[in-house]
Amino acid sequence: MALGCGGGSANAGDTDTDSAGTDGSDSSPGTDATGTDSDTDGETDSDTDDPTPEGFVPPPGGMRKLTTREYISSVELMLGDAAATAAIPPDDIAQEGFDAVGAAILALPADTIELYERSATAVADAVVTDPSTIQGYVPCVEEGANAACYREVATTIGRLAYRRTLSQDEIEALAAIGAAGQQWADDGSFMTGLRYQLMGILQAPSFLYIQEVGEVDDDTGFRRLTGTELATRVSFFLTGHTPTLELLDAAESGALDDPDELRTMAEAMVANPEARTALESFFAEAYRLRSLAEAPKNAELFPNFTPELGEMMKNETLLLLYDIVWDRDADFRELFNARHTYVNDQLAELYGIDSPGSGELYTRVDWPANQRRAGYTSQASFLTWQSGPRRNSPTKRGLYIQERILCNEIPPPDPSVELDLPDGEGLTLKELLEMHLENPGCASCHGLTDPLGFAFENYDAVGAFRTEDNGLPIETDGEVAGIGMWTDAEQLGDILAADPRTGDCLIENFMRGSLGQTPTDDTHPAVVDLGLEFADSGYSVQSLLVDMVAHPLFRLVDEPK
Amino acid sequence: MRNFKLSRRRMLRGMAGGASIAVGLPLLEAMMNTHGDALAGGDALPLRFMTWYWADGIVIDRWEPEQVGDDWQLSEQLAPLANVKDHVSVVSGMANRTPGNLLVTHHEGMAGLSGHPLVQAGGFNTNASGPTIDQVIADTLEGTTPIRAAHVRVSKRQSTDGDGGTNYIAMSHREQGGGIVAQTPQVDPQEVWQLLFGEFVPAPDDSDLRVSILDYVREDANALKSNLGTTDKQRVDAHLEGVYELEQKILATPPSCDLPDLPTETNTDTGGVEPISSTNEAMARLIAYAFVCDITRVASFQLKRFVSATVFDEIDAGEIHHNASHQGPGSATYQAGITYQMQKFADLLEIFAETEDLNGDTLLDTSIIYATSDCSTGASHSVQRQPILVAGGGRGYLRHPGIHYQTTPFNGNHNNPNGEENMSDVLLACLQAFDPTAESVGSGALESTTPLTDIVA
Repeated sequence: MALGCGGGSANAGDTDTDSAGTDGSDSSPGTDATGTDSDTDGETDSDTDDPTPEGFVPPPGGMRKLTTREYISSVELMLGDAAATAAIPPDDIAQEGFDAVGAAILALPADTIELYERSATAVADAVVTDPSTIQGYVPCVEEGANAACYREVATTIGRLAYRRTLSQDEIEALAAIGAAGQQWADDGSFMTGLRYQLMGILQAPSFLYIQEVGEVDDDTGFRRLTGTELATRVSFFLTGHTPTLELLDAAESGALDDPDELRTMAEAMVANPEARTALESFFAEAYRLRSLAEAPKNAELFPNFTPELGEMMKNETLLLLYDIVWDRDADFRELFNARHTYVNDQLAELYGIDSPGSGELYTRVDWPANQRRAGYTSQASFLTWQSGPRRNSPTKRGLYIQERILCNEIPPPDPSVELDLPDGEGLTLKELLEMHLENPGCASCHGLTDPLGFAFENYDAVGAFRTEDNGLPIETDGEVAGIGMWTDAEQLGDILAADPRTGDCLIENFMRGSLGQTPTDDTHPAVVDLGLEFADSGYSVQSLLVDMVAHPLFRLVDEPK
Repeated sequence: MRNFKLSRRRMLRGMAGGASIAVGLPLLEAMMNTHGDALAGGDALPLRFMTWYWADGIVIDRWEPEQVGDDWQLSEQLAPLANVKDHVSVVSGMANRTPGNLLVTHHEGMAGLSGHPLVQAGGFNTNASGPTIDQVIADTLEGTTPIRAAHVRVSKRQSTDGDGGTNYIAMSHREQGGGIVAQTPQVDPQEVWQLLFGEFVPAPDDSDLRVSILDYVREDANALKSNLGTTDKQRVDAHLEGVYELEQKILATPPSCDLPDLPTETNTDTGGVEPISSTNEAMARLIAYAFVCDITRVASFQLKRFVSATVFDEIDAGEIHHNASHQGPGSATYQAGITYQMQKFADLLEIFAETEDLNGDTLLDTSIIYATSDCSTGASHSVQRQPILVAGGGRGYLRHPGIHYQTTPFNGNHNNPNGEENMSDVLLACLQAFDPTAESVGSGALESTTPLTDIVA
């Protein structure tokens, strides 16, 4: 455990004393077994792949639908800003808390096909209105162009869209759509034909679904992603969009088969500003920042909560992440115990701290010691989203920590549970909910969530500081088996930052949020292995992104599902 | 907004050299034969079916009417139905026979729409194992209308964390591509308008081109399939069914009625408040119009999802309805939220009652609307005494005036109520209105082979 605490975090060092539960935690069974060998391999490999961790079975191969943001950013890369703005793909349906998981497992309801046609039409209309981006790829595109130009569009735009080189038959089929469109137009317009051709490309399953099937790999017995499949996965993971022509060239030349070259390429992509946008999308989903502006809050109880304030809360968390990941390349786990945050005047007022006097601009400030705050779980974004419209929800706050910060699964309640809480007259919320904990049926789940949530009772349902609940003093101390014992939110933040599951859970959240995979016992050895590499890097997220790309978890799949 | 939505077609007109087709559509009467008792083609006048769903249960003794049989009176929570009471039958005391090892909370209640037990998928995730009744009925109507079915939802709020699987994401499930596919509903009335009527806006006829693109999509999909496993092949096949339906719609004869105006409601929050009543009304009007135009005969309508973070702001609930349900049957907020949802159902039924159908009946007379929730007592998630309403006349199929059918009186224990008989019997009674030869609905312990004839005329 000591390994991670020195990784650039100024305040993670004092946690061991308070976190008895984290030592020898039973949640990281792979640590002992794999600790010694994979540590060094990760550092020294030169022209060989990372070894496949013992017991690891990769997630199944198959196909996953583009998420809306992958669809839109691909359209932007291929066809330009106006086309991306015009794109109206159907909404994502999240599963396991992430859009990409839904995109990997759900079949499309019938009427969604029409929505994709409508989006394709809107994008194609935008392109014929402003063809400047497509002209950058295919210079022959202009009104009056020769029908041969449809072949060039199919070859190049088709390749970007399908993330592979098209067969001659595919090129001819797409060119034929363009020619038929041109013939249909009264004035024989090339651009009308282009419009229908683009509609065809954008409705093609080859565009809408990412294929990750691979080829059988004799070394491991699993399937290794092909060059273009790997390029596609890397590109969406690190840039958020379809691979560029250069990346496809590299993939088709076999360059990505060389682990060193792959790492070098990934490092360059992480250094590109696009990686920051892609990672921000991931964080916004993982930390429930996307809908903060619409968080339902009772207007009488929280007259200060507005959609604008919700946006500011989102910015605050993203700024802390940006500070940790990009500005300082620091220990990721500071996200859960940082003693500083970023506020503008309005957020400072919400928190009851001295106004920075910076107006709309955000300034780095230290949390006041008396508020006992630390990290994301003390920020208004978490406290607001994981609350009800009228009052706090220690259950929700605790459940989120268990499921999304530590990646522990909480079982559903026993169906025989009778849940009839008395009204809260003369009780704090904590006292009321503690009645759950006296009923064995309730306590099996609530005992794992509510005590964590009680640590944040000093903060109300929009994150403001308070010292009383229902006129009674607040108690924030608590204990959960397997996590530890704390006196307040600041100490709990240190415990979360020191917990070995916190780093592994980020990796599992990347699997869900970026790759659409569901972590299982079979994938756990790989997560533990990567978690050790993450620890070795001092929990640098920038390093983790590169390590993930090079890891068998990223490059291998099992039989297609 | 309308111009924006229609920009594609406007542009096409420009491109096609102003060759726009400005044909006024014929009136509704054109759909009837000269006697007004059948469609012009000789087919029987259409019967429509809709499922309607409200979330998080009821307070049993405030929802179930006291009196049983013909002479029943509206209960406290059914009071909003006063204007349409004769067109409603209440079914109470029925058991949802989902086996005990499949009880997850809330999810199992969705079997009230299908008669099929759920499949567990870990934690609060469950998938449907069979099609819902609206889709089974849509199967019996295959090919009669340009659109198979409409699926709408009013509240956009989600379960704050944890719930997933197909039972959570949609109330309607269909056998599609060899699998059971959730028919995710639309939440924006303008989007519903587009899906129901957008295809029939007069425009230059590029249907051949669009169909040729769909042919290309088919070829591409089939090529993709060759490398995939069973599950993903089914997903591609489901995609292909959607392609087929889009093609049928492109090739369909435009309906013989004027198109309704694009709704102004977009179901957008204002200051964190959802426009529930106006969205509910806009959705109801769109479906009513599509039914009368015979654009579709089937719909599913979800007021809100179970466990969603929906707050009924219009009645100053101030609390998430699901949270209120956990305060127990005594919670005034929970009670008011149930009555509020019944009011939204009543609003919809009244719109159907005001809508004149082809032969002078009201749309309520010519429809069957089956409504249920995901549990009886919300706090204990009990699926004993599944609450069920069957509304409409069904063109004389349903009993009128409606009755209160009760299997067994309430034992008074809210958390552990008593239920008897099989709730799926109600589904089979509904199905037989469309397919008199149907012998069963559902599967496993929930299967019904004995329709509840008490609600049938």
